[in-house]
Amino acid sequence: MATKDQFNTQAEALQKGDSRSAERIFDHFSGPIYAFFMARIRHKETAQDLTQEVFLKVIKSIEQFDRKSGDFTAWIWQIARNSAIDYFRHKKPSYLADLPDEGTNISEERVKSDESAKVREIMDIVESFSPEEQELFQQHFVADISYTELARITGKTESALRVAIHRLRKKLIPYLND
Amino acid sequence: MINFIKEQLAVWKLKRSLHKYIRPDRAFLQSARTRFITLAQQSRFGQNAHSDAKSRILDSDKAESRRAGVTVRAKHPRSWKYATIAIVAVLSMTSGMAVFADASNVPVTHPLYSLKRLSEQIRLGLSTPEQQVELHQIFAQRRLEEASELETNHDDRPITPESQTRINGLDNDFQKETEHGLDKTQDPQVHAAARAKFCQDILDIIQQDAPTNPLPSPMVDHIKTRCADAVKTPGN
Repeated sequence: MATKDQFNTQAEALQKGDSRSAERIFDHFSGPIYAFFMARIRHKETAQDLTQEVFLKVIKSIEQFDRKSGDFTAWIWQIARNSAIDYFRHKKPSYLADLPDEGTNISEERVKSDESAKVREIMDIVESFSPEEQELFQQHFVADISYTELARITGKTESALRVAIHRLRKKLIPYLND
Repeated sequence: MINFIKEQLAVWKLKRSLHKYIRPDRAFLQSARTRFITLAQQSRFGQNAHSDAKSRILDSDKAESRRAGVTVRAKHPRSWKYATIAIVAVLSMTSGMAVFADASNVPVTHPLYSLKRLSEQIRLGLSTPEQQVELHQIFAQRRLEEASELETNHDDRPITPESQTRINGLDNDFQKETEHGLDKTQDPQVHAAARAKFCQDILDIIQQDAPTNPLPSPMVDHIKTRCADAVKTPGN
């Protein structure tokens, strides 16, 4: 049985302009949402722009949020996913090709380190997975979203998600042990 | 069992590496947080916050368009700016051309002739009654000169019906200017001497112009009748 989303109450307080709720919402979602964009787009400034955009859209549309229609966690993540979809729909084709090396923006100072090379390699590998697996990787491994939250976001049961993530993990293991 | 632990360790290391390299800048998070909270606080004030949020959204739309390689400009402020510049430019050019047309007394066939007439009306509107009397005399003389010029242009060939219509129109305009000038001389602010001078000048003009552009007799007679008293009694 799904537990109650604690952010529904925060969202309702945000509708009334409560800054405490705004702080809690931002502190909880900003990191994972940024990581989600970063994993998908691999460009720091774009990920920052899109993250800001999500929170601006939250302010713009918060009046429309209704807990009867769904949880706030699912609602905000839907905004993030739509922003990513819009980005890929409108982006200039050569944009990422402008980067000298994919993922260099992840952390330019450490780009030469083995660890960052490994991260890039794994992300490249994940790009060959199915879109559902890619999103699961971005949300669970990169954005570190819990099973409970993922269930809210995706509308799947936690057990189904555990199975899917277990399979994804099995797929990744051969590349992790190199 | 060992394999399971190894796998868990590998996944844990992967997650740790991902978090290390994909975490947001502290400065970015701080500024985005402040902005979000500020907007949230403002939202309780309704419209102001909404418009501010809208402008913020517009900024973010710009950022998105920038990423997409499209240059988007804020529509209304810029379009007003361009419209204002265009209006000022058109007005400046028009007034400049009107002044030029008036100052250089362009002929009736000139493209700027209508601007010259417009400029004359403006000058009349901005003048005192006594100055208006003088201007009516100047403009009456101009109409006759314009009519004479048109006739001179047709010295070597017959006047076309179109030109004849124009000449008749200019003659009528001469009469109108004269009538308006005479009406204006009745203004208490206009001295009798100014009225006498106006009539004298008009009669001289008619006389000078007679060989090239003979005005219809009833018109001349009417002007002469109206001016007769004034010329006779300059001291009034």
